[in-house]
Amino acid sequence: MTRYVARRLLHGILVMWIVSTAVFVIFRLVPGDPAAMTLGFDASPEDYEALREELGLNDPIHVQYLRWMGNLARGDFGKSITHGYAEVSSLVFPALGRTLELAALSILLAVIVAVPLGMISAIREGTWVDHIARVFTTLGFSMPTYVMGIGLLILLAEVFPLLPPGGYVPFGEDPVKHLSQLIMPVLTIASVTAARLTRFMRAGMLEVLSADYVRTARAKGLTERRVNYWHAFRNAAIPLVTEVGVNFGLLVGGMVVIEQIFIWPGLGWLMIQSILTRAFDVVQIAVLVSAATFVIVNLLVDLTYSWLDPRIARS
Amino acid sequence: MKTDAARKPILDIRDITTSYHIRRSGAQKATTLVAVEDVTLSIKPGETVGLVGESGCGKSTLGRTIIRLLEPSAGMVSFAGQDITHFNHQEMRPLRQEMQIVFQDPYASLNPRFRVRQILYEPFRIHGISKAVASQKIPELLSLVQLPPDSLRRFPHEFSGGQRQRIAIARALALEPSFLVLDEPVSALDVSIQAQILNLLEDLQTELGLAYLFIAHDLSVVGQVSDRVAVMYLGRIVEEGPRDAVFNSPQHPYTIALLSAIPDISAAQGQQTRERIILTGDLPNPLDPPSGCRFRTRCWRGDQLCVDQEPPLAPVSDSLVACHYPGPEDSGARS
Amino acid sequence: MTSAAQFSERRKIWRRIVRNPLHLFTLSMVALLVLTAVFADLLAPYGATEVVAYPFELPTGQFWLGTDSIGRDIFSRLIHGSRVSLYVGFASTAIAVVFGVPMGVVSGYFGKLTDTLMMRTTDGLLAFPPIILAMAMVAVLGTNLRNTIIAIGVVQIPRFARLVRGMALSLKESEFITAGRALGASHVYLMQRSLLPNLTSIILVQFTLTFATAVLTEAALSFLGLGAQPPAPSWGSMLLVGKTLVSTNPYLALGAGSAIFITVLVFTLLGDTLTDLLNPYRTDR
Ligand SMILES: Nc1ncnc2c1ncn2[C@@H]1O[C@H](COP(=O)(O)OP(=O)(O)OP(=O)(O)O)[C@@H](O)[C@H]1O
Ligand code: SF4
Ligand SMILES: [Mg+2]
Repeated sequence: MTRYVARRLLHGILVMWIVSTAVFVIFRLVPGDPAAMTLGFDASPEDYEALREELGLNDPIHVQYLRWMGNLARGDFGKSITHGYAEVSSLVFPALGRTLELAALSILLAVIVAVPLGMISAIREGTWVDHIARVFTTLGFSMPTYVMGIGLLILLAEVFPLLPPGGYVPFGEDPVKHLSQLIMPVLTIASVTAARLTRFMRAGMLEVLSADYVRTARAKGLTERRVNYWHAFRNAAIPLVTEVGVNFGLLVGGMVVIEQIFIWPGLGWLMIQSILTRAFDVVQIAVLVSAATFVIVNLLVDLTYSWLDPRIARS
Repeated sequence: MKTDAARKPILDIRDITTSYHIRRSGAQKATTLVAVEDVTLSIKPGETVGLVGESGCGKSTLGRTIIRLLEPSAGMVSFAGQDITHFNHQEMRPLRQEMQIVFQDPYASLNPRFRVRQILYEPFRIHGISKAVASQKIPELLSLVQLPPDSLRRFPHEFSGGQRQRIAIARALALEPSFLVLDEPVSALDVSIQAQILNLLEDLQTELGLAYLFIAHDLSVVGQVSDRVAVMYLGRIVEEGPRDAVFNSPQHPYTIALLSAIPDISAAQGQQTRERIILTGDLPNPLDPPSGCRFRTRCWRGDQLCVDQEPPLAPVSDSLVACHYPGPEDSGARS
Repeated sequence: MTSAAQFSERRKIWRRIVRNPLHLFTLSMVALLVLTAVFADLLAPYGATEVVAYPFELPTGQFWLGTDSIGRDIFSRLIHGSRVSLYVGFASTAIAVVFGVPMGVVSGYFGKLTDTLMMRTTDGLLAFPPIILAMAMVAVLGTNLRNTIIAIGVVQIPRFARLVRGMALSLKESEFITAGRALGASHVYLMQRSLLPNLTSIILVQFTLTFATAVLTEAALSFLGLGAQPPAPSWGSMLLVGKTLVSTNPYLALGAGSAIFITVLVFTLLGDTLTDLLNPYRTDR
């Protein structure tokens, strides 16, 4: 078990190293260096040269790479030139917090809906409950999140103006407003995620139920169908942990559009703003942090999973 | 004529050992499975050597090592006087025209996405033989293995096992090799089809002067086609000799046991009805073979010597036998 | 056996299509979408950037979905938009295939160090949320349609490579590959002529699914202002404008949203249909 944890940790670190290298490559080696990108096309050559020197772009590439990795390893994400030399971390981490809030609440809601729905759908396979659940999951599967978001926005903010059309007020400032601003984005993400999780739960339950059914039917003659629902639930729920984790990780990055629609100043929103204001020193860290979140969540999920089902660590 | 002793062997292998590295789930290091150990064998042009043994004893591994689909970890393989033991993929390519193999499983050895025409064209294409020559030869091959000409348009899954095996044989013959490894070419087939394929193989041999290494787990099939027979047990050859010597006066207890399982042979050859010897126990784990003689866990003649010392392959009458107490059952039997 | 030979593969597939209404529906929808994109100029009543009336007109017999904020016909722009969407979908998926498939085949076929390096690299690349990676690339390369295509394509390369590598890994142990080696085939021959034909159906299925994702991502990037630039008729940009116009003319947002939804749905269904149709071992009664 300890060896498994160690191995997973090592793998996580390796992936993070590759991720940081990829970010470095994307932002350094492509045409148009960071200085030019930051300044735009109409900058004077003197300004450009000065900024190149300041960013260390005149150093050999391996020196730049080592400096980049060294700074990251020390947790130093640098200062943003475009943001008046503010610490990049002071921009990125609060945004990450707001994104995590959205993601966590959405996942929570999705699980609360999906687990019972998937179970009922599996237990009552083929009945009208099942059919409704399946229509819901199929639609949710191909419905782009942002189309769903805009649909909700039209419905709840325009046609029936019940909710604010987006924005963000800290909880501490105005709890009621904060919560009302949360409702639409959370509903949007949760419904699309719930569709995936329901399908997953249903399939997992069915797998056991049908196997169980066959076995009991053989053992007892075809008259009695005694099914161990608890056993089926466990079988479906443990892999669901992985599925939830993967979705959570993806959400952290994938909510860019939702945050944009509902003007929620999370990580994705910050990225867009930074791209539009050419704050590439912020963009690269935002990209890195979203990938890191995914890696960390996956790591936690794997460890939880192996704790729930110790066979996995041994194989 | 077939067993002309003066003729140089086309294939000669010396003390071949072939291992697999297997990574068992959870284990840190790979373990080594020695599938073939210290095997020496030679085959002359036009000769058929039968190789028998239980499932898993290493027959296919040996066959694949001989035509260098696998690399031996020790020993030497020489083909037509050339040492090919450590030839790489590239160096082997020209030699592939001379040595071919027909695989054990006729369902897996044909590319499911190719029509028979493409399957038979492959050997020519690979060796840069012109399409004109190929398209003249392909129908000939088809008639050689007695398949109807319209087979060319069809996919492998539209054929029966026996028909597929014919396709595989046709492919193996395309480049007119002088040596063919036949890895259980008939064991996946019905008995009636088996006879057809065996006849076909014999006809081809007389016609084309091929040498065969004929692998089987069934002695009776080997008896029908072989000039010489080698019996394999857990990676080693335990008895090898002319077909009649091995069948009429088997020396190794394992050979005796295998033969006793074929009632019709002993009856047909007018011998005393031998008592059927049923081997108890399974083939030992090849990852952890027994000390001394590998057969001792199932042998009724064995004693302490067999536990302590591995018997070498040594001449006994007309054959080579690896046993401390060789001999036919009635004379060699101990308690 | 003989009757099986009588039916050509094509006729067998045709029968499967005709017998299954869902297949029939999916394939007709795909055909409809493709034809719309190809003949957009003929089908659309007005040009993509043509100002035809006052802004914010509501639907009329002449302008079926009304006009947008600069007085262009919304319906026409939606039709022209199909061309942008399908073009980006196709081009970026093609990039993913052209790079991902060879990488996957080589990695799976050779195994060992090549494979380990490849897989660790893809591990790293797959840790990026797809849209974030695409955004980062577009941000660096510059926002235009060509770079959108490159970004979306590159993001999908490791996904293709993974899939193909897994299949290649299990297939290379097949006896027909060993048979090819026994015939003296070169590594390139074995990968290209023996492995690849057996991968075509999963590649094709993955192509349609990636295509759907690419359409979705293009629309998202354009919605964020990082994809197609105005006045190009991208559904994503129309959605962006439509969102602000919801109270005046909701048909812009609704139309663009539905167009994206339907396209994604249809290409996702196409994946299922192809999986069913291309299964060579399926026997029909
Ligand atoms: N690719 C492989 N990797 C690891 N072990 C293998 C591999 N192929 C065969 N073995 C092992 O090597 C031993 C010999 O296998 P081989 O296939 O040569 O036997 P065989 O005599 O041909 O059996 P059969 O009659 O079933 O074909 C067996 O223990 C088998 O499990
Ligand atoms: S050596 Fe001993 S154990 Fe082995 S076969 Fe001969 S008698 Fe049996
Ligand atoms: Mg075998």
